[in-house]
Amino acid sequence: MSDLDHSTGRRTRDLWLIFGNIQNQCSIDDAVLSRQADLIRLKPDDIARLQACIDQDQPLPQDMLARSELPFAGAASCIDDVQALACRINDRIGRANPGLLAASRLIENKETLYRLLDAVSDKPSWRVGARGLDDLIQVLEALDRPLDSVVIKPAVGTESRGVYRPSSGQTARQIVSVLRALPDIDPHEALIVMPYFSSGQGTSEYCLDGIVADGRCEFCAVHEKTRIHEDYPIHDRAMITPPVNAPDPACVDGLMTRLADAFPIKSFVFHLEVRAGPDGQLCPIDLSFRPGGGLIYRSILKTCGIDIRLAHMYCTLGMKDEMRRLGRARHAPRGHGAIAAVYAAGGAPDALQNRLGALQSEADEAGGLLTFDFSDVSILASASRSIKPNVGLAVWSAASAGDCMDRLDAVVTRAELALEPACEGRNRAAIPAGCAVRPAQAACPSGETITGLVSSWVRTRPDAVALSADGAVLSYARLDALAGRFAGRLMERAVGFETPVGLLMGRSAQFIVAALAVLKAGGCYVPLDKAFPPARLAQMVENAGVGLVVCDAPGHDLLDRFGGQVIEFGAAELNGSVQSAPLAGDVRDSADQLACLLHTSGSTGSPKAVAVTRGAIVNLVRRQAYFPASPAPAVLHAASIAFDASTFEIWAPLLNGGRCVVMTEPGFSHEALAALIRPGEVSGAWFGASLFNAIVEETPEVLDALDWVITGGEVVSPRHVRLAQSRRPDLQIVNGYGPTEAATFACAHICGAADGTHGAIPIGRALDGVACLVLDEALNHTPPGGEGELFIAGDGLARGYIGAPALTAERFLPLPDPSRPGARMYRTGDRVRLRPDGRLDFIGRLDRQVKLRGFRVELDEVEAALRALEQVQDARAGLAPGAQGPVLAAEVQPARPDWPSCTPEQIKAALEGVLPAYMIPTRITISQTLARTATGKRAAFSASEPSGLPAEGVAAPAPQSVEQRLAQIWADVLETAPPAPGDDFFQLGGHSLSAARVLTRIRQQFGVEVSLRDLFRVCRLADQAELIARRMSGVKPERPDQIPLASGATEMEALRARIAGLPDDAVARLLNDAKARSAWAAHDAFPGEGAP
Amino acid sequence: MTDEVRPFDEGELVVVVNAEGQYSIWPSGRTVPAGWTPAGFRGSRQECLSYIETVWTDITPASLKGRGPG
Repeated sequence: MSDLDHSTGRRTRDLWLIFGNIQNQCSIDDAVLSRQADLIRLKPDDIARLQACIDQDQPLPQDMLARSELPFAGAASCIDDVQALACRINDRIGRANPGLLAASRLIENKETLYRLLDAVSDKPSWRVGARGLDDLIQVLEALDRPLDSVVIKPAVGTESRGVYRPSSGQTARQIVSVLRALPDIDPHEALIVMPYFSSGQGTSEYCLDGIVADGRCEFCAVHEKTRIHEDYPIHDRAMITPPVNAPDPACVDGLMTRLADAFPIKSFVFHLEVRAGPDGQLCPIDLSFRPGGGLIYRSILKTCGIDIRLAHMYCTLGMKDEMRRLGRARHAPRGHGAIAAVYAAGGAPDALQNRLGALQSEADEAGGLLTFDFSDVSILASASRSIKPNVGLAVWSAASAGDCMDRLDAVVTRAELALEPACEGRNRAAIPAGCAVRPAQAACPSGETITGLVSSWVRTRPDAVALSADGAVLSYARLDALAGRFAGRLMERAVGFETPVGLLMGRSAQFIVAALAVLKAGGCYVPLDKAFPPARLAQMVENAGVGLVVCDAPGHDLLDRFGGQVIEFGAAELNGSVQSAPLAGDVRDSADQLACLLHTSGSTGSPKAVAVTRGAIVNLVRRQAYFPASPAPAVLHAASIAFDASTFEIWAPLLNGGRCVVMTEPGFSHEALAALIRPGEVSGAWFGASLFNAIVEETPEVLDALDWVITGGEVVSPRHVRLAQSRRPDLQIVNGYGPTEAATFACAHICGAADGTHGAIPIGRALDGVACLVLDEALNHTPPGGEGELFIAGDGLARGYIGAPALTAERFLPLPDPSRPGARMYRTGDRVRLRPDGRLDFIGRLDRQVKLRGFRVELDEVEAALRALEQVQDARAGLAPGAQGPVLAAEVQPARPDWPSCTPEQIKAALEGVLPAYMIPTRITISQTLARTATGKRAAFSASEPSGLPAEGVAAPAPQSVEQRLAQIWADVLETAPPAPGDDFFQLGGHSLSAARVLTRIRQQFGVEVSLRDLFRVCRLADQAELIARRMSGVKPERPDQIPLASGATEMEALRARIAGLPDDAVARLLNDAKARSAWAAHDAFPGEGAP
Repeated sequence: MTDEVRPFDEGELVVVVNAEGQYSIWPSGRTVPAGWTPAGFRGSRQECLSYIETVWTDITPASLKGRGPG
């Protein structure tokens, strides 16, 4: 919502200067109409001119400021999130007030405001900027006034971070050391020192953050800095100025009264932010707590020994006064007023919702205290940047303000307001510690490089076999010579430092020679598996910026559409004599240089090119404990050259003096595998989890010839590990886990005898040189036993995604480890559990998490538990529609078709010992085959499959239709007779609050997510019932503009629908645009189809 | 876990950069990790990423950038 173009620093929108006294006006419009105020519009050019004057230290252009003779009062710019909220609420309750647009006294460019204030004020205020904490010492020491007469605030984020007012007697150094101890102050960030104003009555500051409802029960957003001083009209955003002295309730009451007098308002809406505690109970959080903020406030509370409980009561007291005032007010709103102060993203946990539902019921009975639905809040999320899953307890009062206050007091007491220790930890910078973290060593401590290691084997074991492929056998000396010769050819084609070279081949000796040649020339190879679809290959080529492709045979479809150079490097190239010769030119090989670009599928549908460094590959295969590198291993290469597993398969042998055994047959067959893996020929192999399972079942003799197997890529089946172990007790089975972004494996677990028998197979511990951090959502380290998201740091990290800096920045984050300044960590998106023994359990993808009856359920975890059962071969889990809302369902493939104990009842019984009740699938279907994707992975469960899951063990469908049940909800909430299908909720007397209550019950009864926005859009009973039914059947919400309006929809309904369908920024633009504003008032001329 | 703020997905972020010229994002108001400095832009996740898209066009680390082809 910024109206600053950050690249140029120029404003992109107009700025309104306000002159005059607006304090006693309901809105600026009123002030202007009553000739109390002038509004002067500055266009971006004016603002630029103003800025130039400021920058060049010239007098401000008086022609601008002279357009009004009234005193300058402030400035207004774009609408703010709070105001947008108010507008929307007003619209929802049918009381849209375009005047609100002018009510904002917000200025986004504070510096301009300060300059303006300076320019027009008789008593220029002063501010001194400090470039950081060190500079602040100088600034404070140079001040010629007592330090307790100033406040210090961060230049950015003041409203959420608060200000610091030094205590009397503090020296500059003491002040800075206090600030330095605050976790949210960056030592180098800009700070502002400005005068502290007090009206001389003790504490003249107070906490306020909220929305004020005026006498007409419309909403004005308060953007005033809520401190009122005779001569200093500070117009800042809603400001939290913490109490620096011990709070005196009487003083606060006075302040609130003064505030109330200052604003022409009749009621306050004060929101108390709450969140769900571990047991689902409500824990109010302090008003200042928000992402990126509140720490100074909290710190001061703590430093000053102020009980946060008191701070809340303090707010409550202030409100109580106001509520009493309201009770006496002549213009108290009649009937129901609607109030919302809600900030949350993506809804709140169901437990919280249920709790709020209960509170709401209580409130309904007593009147006055209302909780507001928060399903709607996602609408606000994009506009309001400080979002957290909480809800505003909106206090509304018609008649019983006092009762309401008592009830709120009771809530506050009952909720046990207390500063939770977790709050402290939540904001602590995450510092790697804990069992799962292995110290990351300096990159390649030995200075080893890929080409250097191969050369070293050429020197020590020139005749040892480096690779064998379909009869072709290359020694290290010959591999090196061939690669050296080809590297020379590549360098003639201008291949040099990090030049991407496409290798359009299959698994073959040429591929490995060519890859080594590219590395020798300084370039990075881009595997292009020629079996891939040409269109996909073309995407990869373009993505990686490949200008040179090496192919092993002519005629590939890709080459027809490829515009760059092509070199043919066929099998014949491996024949004939070749002399090893040093390469011309300066070719270096360093750890941070790129080795290859590996493509992974991106969420956007186009592949991402992961830039894997040479150091990451060396780290992957050198001196690691997860596979035996000595004696020199013979490793099977059977994965596609395009997959990251091939990195391991090729370089694990070649960098350890071993032999790469290439399966040249395209694709995969058990026969080819069995033919290749003969005793003494291959010591180790990587098999993806599905392949591993298939081998265990179909060709277990393959395992007999191996010393070790690494599996992974998908969740490893404990049953198959157990089977393999029982066949080959001395076979080392390793569960290797890692994203391509962390060079194939980031952690690994060598399966022990007990592993197959009890639950899921862990993914183990971090590789040497790799750090695995398990962080919770607030980036704190998860304690042993806890769950969190896995972040990977260390030598295995890729450089990022080629050509996708934003994506790189998003996934490769700063590593908060002081011992590794500037290092990064990769955000995996995988949920893991840190076991007490320091190993990690894979739980699932973050995006495979579903919510069911308030519980978060990892579908992957359910599937893993199913697969761990003796009678289960494979399983998939998902949600399926049920009579009471979605239920957890599973499709299970029995271990043997005729397995007698594989019935839904027996599986459920077996799961009871393993999973909590809410994770046990309600419906279990037995199926002999599970759908698989093209790559052999299990297809995702789709609950909408028509015949997928017949209900088993589920109660018969509810006797009533959705529409009948919804009608009953309407009747209960609206206290009317059950409505007819064609009835309109709002015409029956419904409003936003009752709609919120309907929502809560819809959720409880049907278990589907329906937003307030939906209810406003779809007003008829029949339509709402249909919507709910659609949601229950798993149909995604349609685009609003695709939903037909009910027949006979009024213009107002059409309007509602269109507003609801607009994206937030369009609404904002609409509100901000003067033309559209008049159109808004006229209820027409909304942006048509295809509007941005 | 359930109810915490997701600092990288919600709320204000600040664009940070390290000595290698690598950009990333960090929750505003948290101490920026050692070796990273604010790049002078803050905003929503998407705004920050859009900004990064404009200023960071080549992900090659600064210490390697002197090494042109050949």
